[in-house]
Amino acid sequence: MSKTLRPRGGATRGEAPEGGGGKGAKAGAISSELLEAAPDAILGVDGEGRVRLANAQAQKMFGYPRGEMEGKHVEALMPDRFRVQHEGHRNGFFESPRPRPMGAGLELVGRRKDGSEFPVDVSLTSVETGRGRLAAAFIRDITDRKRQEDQLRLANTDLESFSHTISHDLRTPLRSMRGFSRALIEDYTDRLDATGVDYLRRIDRAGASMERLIDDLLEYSRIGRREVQTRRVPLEAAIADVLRPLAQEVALTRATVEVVRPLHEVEAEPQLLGQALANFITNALKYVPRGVAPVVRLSSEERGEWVRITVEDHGLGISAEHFAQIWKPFERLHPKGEYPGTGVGLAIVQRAVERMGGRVGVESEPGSGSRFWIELRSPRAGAP
Amino acid sequence: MTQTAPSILLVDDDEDDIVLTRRAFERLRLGNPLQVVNDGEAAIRYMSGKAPYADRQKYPLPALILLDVKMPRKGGHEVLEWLKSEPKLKRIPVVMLTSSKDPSDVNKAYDLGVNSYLVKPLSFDGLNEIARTLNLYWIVTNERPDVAVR
Repeated sequence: MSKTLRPRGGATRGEAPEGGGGKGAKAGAISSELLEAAPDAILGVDGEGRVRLANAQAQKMFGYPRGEMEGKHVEALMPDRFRVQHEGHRNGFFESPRPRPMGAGLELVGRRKDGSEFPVDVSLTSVETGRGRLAAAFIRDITDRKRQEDQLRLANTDLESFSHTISHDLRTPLRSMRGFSRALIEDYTDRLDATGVDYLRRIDRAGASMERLIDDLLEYSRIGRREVQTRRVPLEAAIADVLRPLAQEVALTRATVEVVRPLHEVEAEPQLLGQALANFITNALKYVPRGVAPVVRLSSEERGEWVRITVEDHGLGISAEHFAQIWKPFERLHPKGEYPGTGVGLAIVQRAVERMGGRVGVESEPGSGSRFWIELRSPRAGAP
Repeated sequence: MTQTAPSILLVDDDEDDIVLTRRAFERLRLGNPLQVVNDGEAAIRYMSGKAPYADRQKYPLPALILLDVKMPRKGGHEVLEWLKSEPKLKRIPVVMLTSSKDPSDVNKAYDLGVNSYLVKPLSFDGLNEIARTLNLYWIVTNERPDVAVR
């Protein structure tokens, strides 16, 4: 918690309007019905910091009987710890009274008559009245929103510890299961018949796919949580970095990988970009009809302030009704036996690209390949 | 007196890991059994020759110690710190073999003078490879220090 109702700024005084309570004021431009019906608390505060006007919602929010708020110092409506600072800001506001949110990025706190505190959002503007200029504060009680935010934060912490549990505690027994099934295969194959060996291999394979699933899940959750700071990344270098570790897979599948130059630069986080591109490319290498050598084409183009990176393949293709679903975790379009995978790959791409402020998409038709694309900001777009 | 048949002491509390690690070393046919204790306290008793490890014929001082980090009672870091403070034992190479990749665990181990830090491989082949490499490097290739025996 930190600040409260406080216009900000230096220390010059505004003209103090004369007079007692705000009631009876010739309300000038403000329609009093509108004021009373407003769902936000509205306060009019003079240059001395006294409340000249408080609508019904303000009295309700701060717990004052009708008429009692007027004439009070506005600093009475905030915890003592903010008082001095607020007086300074208030004077500053009268010096240059532009409409603005109060204490942007800070947590503002209001205090009721009974001393209890509650979180608020405040917007400020100023109004010229018959008796001088008033600072108008529009105050919203955000207790409910804060509570929801706290719950969300708690849920996120839970998720984080959950993914740590996955990474560590699930891996340990899995390592044992895989280790012993492999030990059985290696040490006892001669004492088992073909069916027995087949069963063991199935256990081993299942363990391996669970391991990949755990890795992918961890990666997916890590991308959601990590700090992302984008910078100018030349695609030439990024794509070279992605293709290097894939060289073996490319050779194994007898794939042709074509890179169309020139390549552009993008605003990206190199690791996330690399991961996204690698997932696209491994998909392009994987989803081809049996026995067909994959053809992958990488290119980039400028589209206004965006740069689109396209990974095109001549593989199986996807029908339009599946376009939305393929980006969701665990969604798979093919039976595992034919095309093994966890179904998290494209979800990772989408999350990574969104974290970099970009977007993803696909154009495809069954039988004629797919064009998966990523759009990221062009570094030139943000340049002064 | 120095040990003629160099042995390895494995300090680990996970029974499955012990069996798999033992198997990996046995397949190397080194002719000397892997000694195993299950927690940090037992490791310290073993290394200081206290009961039930008083018999140095049966429980020889190892040429290499493989140390898990997270163990009940005394963890790997505590054992490491103790070892490096023992004038008679501090030269024995210690390799952390653990599932913790946590940078704070890694750095602390190096601060305490560990000779190497290995993360337990997920795969079975990885474990066999680590056993082979450890033996090749620390037992066969590495020039071993004199270790004073009481």
